[in-house]
Parts: sequence; C-alpha cells; structure tokens
Amino acid sequence: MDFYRTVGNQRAEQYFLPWRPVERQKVQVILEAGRLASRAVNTAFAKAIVAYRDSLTAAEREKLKTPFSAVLVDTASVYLFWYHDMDARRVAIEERKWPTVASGALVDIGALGPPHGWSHRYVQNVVLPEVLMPGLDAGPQRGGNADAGLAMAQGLLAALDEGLAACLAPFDEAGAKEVLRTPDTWEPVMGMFLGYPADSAEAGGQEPRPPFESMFFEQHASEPFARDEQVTKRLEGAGLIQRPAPVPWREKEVRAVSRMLGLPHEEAQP
Amino acid sequence: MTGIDVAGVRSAESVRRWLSSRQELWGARSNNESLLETLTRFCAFAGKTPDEMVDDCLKPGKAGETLMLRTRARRQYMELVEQFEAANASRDDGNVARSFLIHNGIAMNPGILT
Amino acid sequence: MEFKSVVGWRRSIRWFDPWREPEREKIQSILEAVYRAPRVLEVDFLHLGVVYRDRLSHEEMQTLKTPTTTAQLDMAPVYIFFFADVQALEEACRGQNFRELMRVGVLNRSHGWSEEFVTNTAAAYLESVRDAEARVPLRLPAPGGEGSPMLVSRETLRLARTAIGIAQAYALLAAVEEGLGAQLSGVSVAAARGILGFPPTWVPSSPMLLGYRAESREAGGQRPREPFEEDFFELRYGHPFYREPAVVEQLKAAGMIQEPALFPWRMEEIRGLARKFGLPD
Repeated sequence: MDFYRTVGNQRAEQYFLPWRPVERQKVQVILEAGRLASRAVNTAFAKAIVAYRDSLTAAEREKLKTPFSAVLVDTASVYLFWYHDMDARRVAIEERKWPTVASGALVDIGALGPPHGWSHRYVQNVVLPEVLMPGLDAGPQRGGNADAGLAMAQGLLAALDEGLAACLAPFDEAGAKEVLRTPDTWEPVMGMFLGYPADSAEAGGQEPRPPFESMFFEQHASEPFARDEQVTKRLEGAGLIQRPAPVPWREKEVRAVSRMLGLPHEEAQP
Repeated sequence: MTGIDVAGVRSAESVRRWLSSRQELWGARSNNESLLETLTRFCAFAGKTPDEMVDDCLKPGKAGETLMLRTRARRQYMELVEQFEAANASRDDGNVARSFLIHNGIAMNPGILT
Repeated sequence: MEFKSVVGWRRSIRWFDPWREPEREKIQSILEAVYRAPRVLEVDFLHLGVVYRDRLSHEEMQTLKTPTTTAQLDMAPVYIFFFADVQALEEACRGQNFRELMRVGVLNRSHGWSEEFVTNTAAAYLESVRDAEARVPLRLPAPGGEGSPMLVSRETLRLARTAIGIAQAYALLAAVEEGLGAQLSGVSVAAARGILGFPPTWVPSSPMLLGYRAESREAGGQRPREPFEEDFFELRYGHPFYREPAVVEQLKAAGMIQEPALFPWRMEEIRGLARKFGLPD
C-alpha cells in the first residue's frame, strides 16, 4: 500500500472478526518491519512476544487484561506484546555478540567514520567509557525508551499495510509476566491487538487531534508552524488525510457490529 | 623542537596505530609518504612528538585499563590544528593532523567546507 | 512509495548537501504524518519543533554541537525536535479526550466505555500512572537557577518516551517518502532549551536531522541486525518466533529487506564525501 495511505488508515481499531485467524506470515512481516527500525547505537532495545487468543485459556487471558484492553483481549486474534529491554545496553557492551556501536560495527561498515570524528579507538576509549557505560552500575532502569516505541510504531504501520486492524493498548504487566514468562529486565511498551476488521475500512473516520498549530512549532516554541492548505489538499489526495470522525453511519455500524460480535450495545430508538 | 624527523615520526607507536587504522578502513593505497611528511611538519609546529600529542589528550582511566579523553587538551589541539591549517593555507594539511588524532581516538571536528 | 519500500530505504543518513534546504511543503508533510500517529492512551504528549540551521547564529550552532555530531549538524539544513509534555498527562486525567472519542464513535459502549467508565476507571488509570511511586527528577538544566527540577513518575516517562518513539518512526519514514535523508542524532539538550525556549515539563529526545542526501541512497547497505530470533518470541519468552524464509524472500522482493552493508564501494564513497566537504579521513 502507498505509504501515506497506510499512515492515513490508522485507527484505534476496536472491532475484530474473531473467527478469522491472522496469517502467521503477516505477523512475521510486522516483526520484520519493527526489526528494521532506527535505533540508538544500533542496539536492540525493542523486543516482542506474539501470543494467540485461541492458544490461551480464559484464565490466562484475564490475567493480561487492563481496563483499556479487556474486550480487545477477548476479540483480537493475535496479540503482540512490545517491550523495552532494559538490559540491552549492558548486553551490547559486555557481550558484544551482535553488531552495535560497542562492537565497532558501525565504523566497519562506513556508517560512522573518521570524517565524523569516529574511529575504533574512539569507540573503545571515549564512547564506551564516557557515553555508553555510565549508569550501567545502577542496573536496568524503568522509564521507557523511545526506540522501543519506534520499533513498535513501524510494526503497527506494517500491520495496516497488511490489511489488518490494529489497536495499541496497555496490558497487565504482572499478568503477562506470569503467562508469557518475560524477564524482569523487560519493561512493557504497549500491547498491539491485531485481527481482521469487523467494521468498515473507514472505521468511523480519522480520529480527532488537537489543533495542528498547538503541536508543531518553528524555530522557537512560541512560534506555531503555519499550516499550508495546499499541502493538506495534496495529502488528502494521497490518502494521509481522510474523512474525520464521525462518519454519518457510524452509530448504526457500531450497533450492528456489536450485535454481530455479541458485545453490549444500545438498540435503536424507534 | 629539534629532532623530529620523518623517520622518528614513522617509528612512533601512535603513528603506526594511525597508519594501521587507515589501512584497515581505506586500504593500503590510502597511506603514502606525504602523510608522514605533513604530520612531521605538524609535530614541529606543535613542538611535540606524535606520542606526546596523543598522551596529552588521552589519560588512563581510574582502573588504568582504559583511556579517557581530556576535553580541554582536545580543544587545544583542535585550535592548534586550525592554526597549522591557516599557516599553511591548506585544509588538506590540517586534515592530515586531524586524521592522525582521530584514528588515535581523539575526535576532531572541523567545520565543513561549502 | 510503497510502504515496504519506504521501510527498506530508511537509513541513518549522515551526509547532507548543506546548501539545499528541503522545501517547506515536504517538512509540513512530515509533520502531517506525525499528526496522524496514534496517541499513547489518548494523551496529547507530543510537540515537534522545526529548526532551520541557517536561522541560527554561529554561537547557537556551536553550543548545540557535541563532539560527534558536529559535521552532521553543519550539513543538515533542518532539525526536527521531538518533545513529550508530561503536563499533558495531568490534562488527560480529566478525561476529555476519552469523552471526545466516545462522542465520535471511536470508543463505545461495546467496549465498556461510558461517562462512568471515563471518570471512575480510565481517568483513574491515568492518575495511577501519574502518581506511581517510583519518581525521578526531570533533569532539564535550569537556566539562571530555577530551583529544583520537578519530579515525575517513571511510568509517566515510559508513556512519554513511547509517544516520542512513535512520532520519530512516522517522521523518519515520511522523510524517506519525501525523498529526503534523515537521522536521529544527539545535540546538547541545554543548548536546545536555550534556543528553542521549551518549557521544563517537556521531555526532549534526539532530534531528526533532515536534508537532501549527499551520500547515495544505499548509504552502504542496510545496517546489520542481531538474529531475528534474538528479539521476537512466540507464546512465551525463550521460544523464538520461527522466521519463515519464504516471508523473508517476499520482503526482499518488496524492497523492505535489502542488500546488507558493506557495499564494496562504500569506503571510497566515504572518502570522496570527506573530500567534498573538506573533512579528514
């Protein structure tokens, strides 16, 4: 699918066809996309565990739920639990099994080199002791990691490109630890709940956002980035900007889909 | 400073490290005699041997096993290289000195030419 | 471009033509892509700032640089900074975003959403994140001595950094779609705060350097990765997700998985670029 349309198709999808399994190959594509995401010092901060609704008992599914993801756990066919590996930096530095900045790999492949001030000796004598190693003694530190979120986002877009519905929602960390046996050094990012959509492709329209100018600035935080309507028109044509929520039929659609899936709903008023 | 000649520069441990590192990255053909001649002139300009310049910028860490960058010394050498470059009206000459320091683990960051 | 191809062509670009500023339309398109990115728990964390190198003074440029980002900052004509405002979580605890999504049919009764759920459960969940016990100072430098840094829960930071990462992903890919090169890089946070004037509640992150590539699109090849099975598991930790070769071949055909580094001519390219910009080798 064209990139901008892929981005524009994103919705916080809530309705999945529970009887339609997601092909394993599509799950792999999502993981492959996440693996290729940008990451600091070429280190694998992002990790993920794939689980399938139908491979879990009802009790196990209950343990995974948070208020935001309760129904998603019961209706999505596949769950990708994304994590931040808080130990990734230490492993990269101490074990040097894989190609990271610590191993000198980026100098070897010409990604970083003498023109930018880098050399193998610089990595060993400056970058490692003064940039990468400080703080390691404190052990794994919670507080999130942008690169883990970055990988997850790239995976999310891959899911949309594969024609799947996807929703990001928190999962119960302790429950996931018990069910999935995750290590103590992994901190949750988000759960990605996947399936084939039960509602229309528009899924109610693009979700509201704060005013554009309140989010983006130019040169100084006090100067909003002026939004050119010609650009938004072009991006409408490209599928990035789509009809905003709610579409006229949304209420009927939600009621019908809820009825189909056996979910709570309000019947139409006569 | 007397006594700094190409032969002396060539035999310095830091110079051997530099040339070896260049060869590993760029190939053997990237090293030539003119590099050593230029570096020798820079040493004379600085009044230091190659090893002395590297030692000025890198000091042993607390455990003694690793080296740590001396920020002030690094800045002083950046300025010295700029002066050498200006004195010779040659960015290429300055870059030889920078290359030597970079491959020895001391980041040098000249502004780009446009 | 096809999505998979965009993913495949993304590289950390470190060589830009400094005299060629990306068109404003392209920059806006990147921002528009980020604008459509999913929100973490429907919290409006994100702020992005576009900075044009040539509108900075020489002194401002010098303060932004770190020892290993000098050349890139000199070359890239545009920097896009990403921030997450932790104060947004406080706002979100009032539940207005959830109510708006209910009103437009995104969050529905089918999934338990109601006014009562917003007030008693969803907002309460956000409050628990905000008030989580483990707290750290937001270590932003205080110009002129503004007093102690504010404390924020690690859980808040977890969500904030996730939001930033999502935005960065969208921005990097949109840059590729627009035919530009981009890289997440490091700058002096203290200097950035002085120049951009962002509030102390904004968590900064690596800015994206943006411009027209001076190096080839291939940039030496796709960067190496650890084995797939090191990162992804199935059913439980320790049980690797089996990487089906046929899928890999499909992704190669689609341009997502490309020739890995090191291309045979890469080092010559680097030396040529060094000569182009008067940099050492």
